[in-house]
Amino acid sequence: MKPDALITVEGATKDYIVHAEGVRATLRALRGIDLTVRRGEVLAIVGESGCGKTTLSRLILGIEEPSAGHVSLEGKAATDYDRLARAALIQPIFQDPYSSLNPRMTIGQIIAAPLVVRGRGGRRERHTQVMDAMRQVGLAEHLRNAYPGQLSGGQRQRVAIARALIGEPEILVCDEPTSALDVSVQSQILNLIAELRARFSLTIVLISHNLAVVHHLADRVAVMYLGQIVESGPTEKIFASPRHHYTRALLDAILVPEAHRRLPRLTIDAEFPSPLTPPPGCAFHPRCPAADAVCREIDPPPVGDGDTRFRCHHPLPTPA
Amino acid sequence: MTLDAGETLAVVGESGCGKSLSAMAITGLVPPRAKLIADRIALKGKSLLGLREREWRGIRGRRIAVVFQDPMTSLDPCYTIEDQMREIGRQHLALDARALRARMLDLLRQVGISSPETRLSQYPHQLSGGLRQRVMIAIALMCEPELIIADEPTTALDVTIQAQVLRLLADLQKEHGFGLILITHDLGVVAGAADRIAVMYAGQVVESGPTDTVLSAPAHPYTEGLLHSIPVPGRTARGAPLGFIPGVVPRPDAPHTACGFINRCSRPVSACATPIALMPIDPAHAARCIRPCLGGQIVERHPATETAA
Ligand SMILES: Nc1ncnc2c1ncn2[C@@H]1O[C@H](COP(=O)(O)OP(=O)(O)O)[C@@H](O)[C@H]1O
Ligand SMILES: Nc1ncnc2c1ncn2[C@@H]1O[C@H](COP(=O)(O)OP(=O)(O)O)[C@@H](O)[C@H]1O
Ligand SMILES: [Mg+2]
Ligand SMILES: [Mg+2]
Repeated sequence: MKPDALITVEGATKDYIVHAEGVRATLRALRGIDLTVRRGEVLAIVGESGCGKTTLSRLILGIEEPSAGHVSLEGKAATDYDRLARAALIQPIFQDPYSSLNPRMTIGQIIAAPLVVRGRGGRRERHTQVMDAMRQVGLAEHLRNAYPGQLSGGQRQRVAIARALIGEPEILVCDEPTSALDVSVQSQILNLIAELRARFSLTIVLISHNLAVVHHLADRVAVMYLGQIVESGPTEKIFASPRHHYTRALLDAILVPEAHRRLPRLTIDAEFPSPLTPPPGCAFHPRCPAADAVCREIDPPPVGDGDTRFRCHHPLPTPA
Repeated sequence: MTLDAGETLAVVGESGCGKSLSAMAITGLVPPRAKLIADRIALKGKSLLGLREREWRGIRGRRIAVVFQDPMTSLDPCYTIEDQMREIGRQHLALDARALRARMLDLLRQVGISSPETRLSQYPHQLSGGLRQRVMIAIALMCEPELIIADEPTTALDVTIQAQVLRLLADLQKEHGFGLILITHDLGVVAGAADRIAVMYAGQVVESGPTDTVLSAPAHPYTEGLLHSIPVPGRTARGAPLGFIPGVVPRPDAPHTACGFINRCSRPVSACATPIALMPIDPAHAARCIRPCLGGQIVERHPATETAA
């Protein structure tokens, strides 16, 4: 374990047994993940749907066990924590603020729930903590007695954040935290996450398909493709000079609202393959503009290049 | 809103602002409980108001085609792609079976599907989201329509697939010359894809103009607020607070007695307490605001109020 590593994932794979067209098959959602999340950083995980981002987050949250390999939080296996100890350390925030809140509980009850479960503090103390948490995420006091159905999407996501923060965890795992929100609301939630991170020195794992959001918030980026991390490194470096062709394509595909833009013409072909039948060799080769015979046969191992790592036989050049 | 032949108009705005209902109004498919009131809706000068269902049959799917966000809502899961394409072809095209199949294969090739024979024999669930959307575009092209309305066509797709589908629509438009109404909540999709933009807010168009003008010099405070709330790599300072629009969208049943944006606006004045008309700024650019931003300056305009509610 590196000295500053808070989350360590080593050689993690995750298999699911699925029934595809009536046949039992093994779906390898994660195929050997190595990842370190340092204390206090925002690490973003990006990649197309189905590449394994949520599965990886479930291993980190200790909700699921890896089929092989290890996931540890502060040096201890994520699944060895009892529920309460884990909840005190790491909390999830999900994409959909509609389904993640119990519709029959008041906002005050929802936010206090983690304290109640832990038997922490008396009624009055809990009340003070709930009010503090609501203030911190920008929820008006009177909403304490409202129900989730009476709140807007942005307000509900604030409730989810308040609930996650009330037990003072060290780590937040945010899975597409703003994807269900309108842009004018999205920016407020992003601002809130950035502010709370600074105030509480949080460590954040941010899963997002929005590369512009990732660029804005993350210190480091891990790019996933078909159950592997194909490139990782400091955000600015990855954005300025990606080494993997898939990263290049993701960056090219960013659409921003600026005048005089042209639609990108991507250099990658075809579509994301099924994880049930991963292509041989480098899993990205069927879509890669640089693929040759080697790529079709040999899965490229991760190679280091200072603080970035990538898996590619024919990496893009670094700028001179 | 107006759309020239062969042009792309993007209709943008947050969820619930009325983008899809606008599209439905054009195709005569408003929900059963909705009542459509319009001065004029016309395609190449021919009024589309009060048409009979029989008359619509010569227009919908034929002169106007629609592509939805989720192809699964328009594709029937029980039939192969070939069955569904053939059915539409039979309704609208006078082709024998052989010519029709050739047309289907040609269309699938045009939308970038590399093994069209295989795809024809497959069912919708056997295709990825991106492929299904390509099939929908092929079906839309079947009768060489004059207008395609694409309602959030790439919202459900991954970013790389989104870029490819938008590119495909633009390339096909160049070749076939159809007009395109591109409905999206994502201002990023608009840049590069649309000639003009209509920005909607709470059931009204609040700004319209050439894409580059609206994106670089938004006149309406809502458009400006939206643009400031989106991070742009290389332009927005990393980690710095993003702009935002305080408050929430008014309920659709709220009385229409003031500017719809008044409670969220950064520069309201007392004159904003009456409904505001969409007023021209120059011949191509208009804003529903009496204090629009022009060339970096807030200008005061006479509070010309709406003529018709
Ligand atoms: N509980 C499960 N059972 C079977 N397959 C699963 C399960 N969870 C995820 N998968 C599969 O694992 C792959 C990765 O899924 P996921 O981690 O959700 O991807 P992402 O979050 O990147 O979209 C997908 O092919 C998905 O269908
Ligand atoms: N079938 C319907 N019945 C009642 N209200 C509807 C119906 N369809 C749309 N609306 C309402 O009309 C408004 C505009 O909806 P819509 O055009 O779908 O918005 P958008 O496509 O911009 O998200 C929303 O307030 C929506 O709730
Ligand atoms: Mg996911
Ligand atoms: Mg809609």
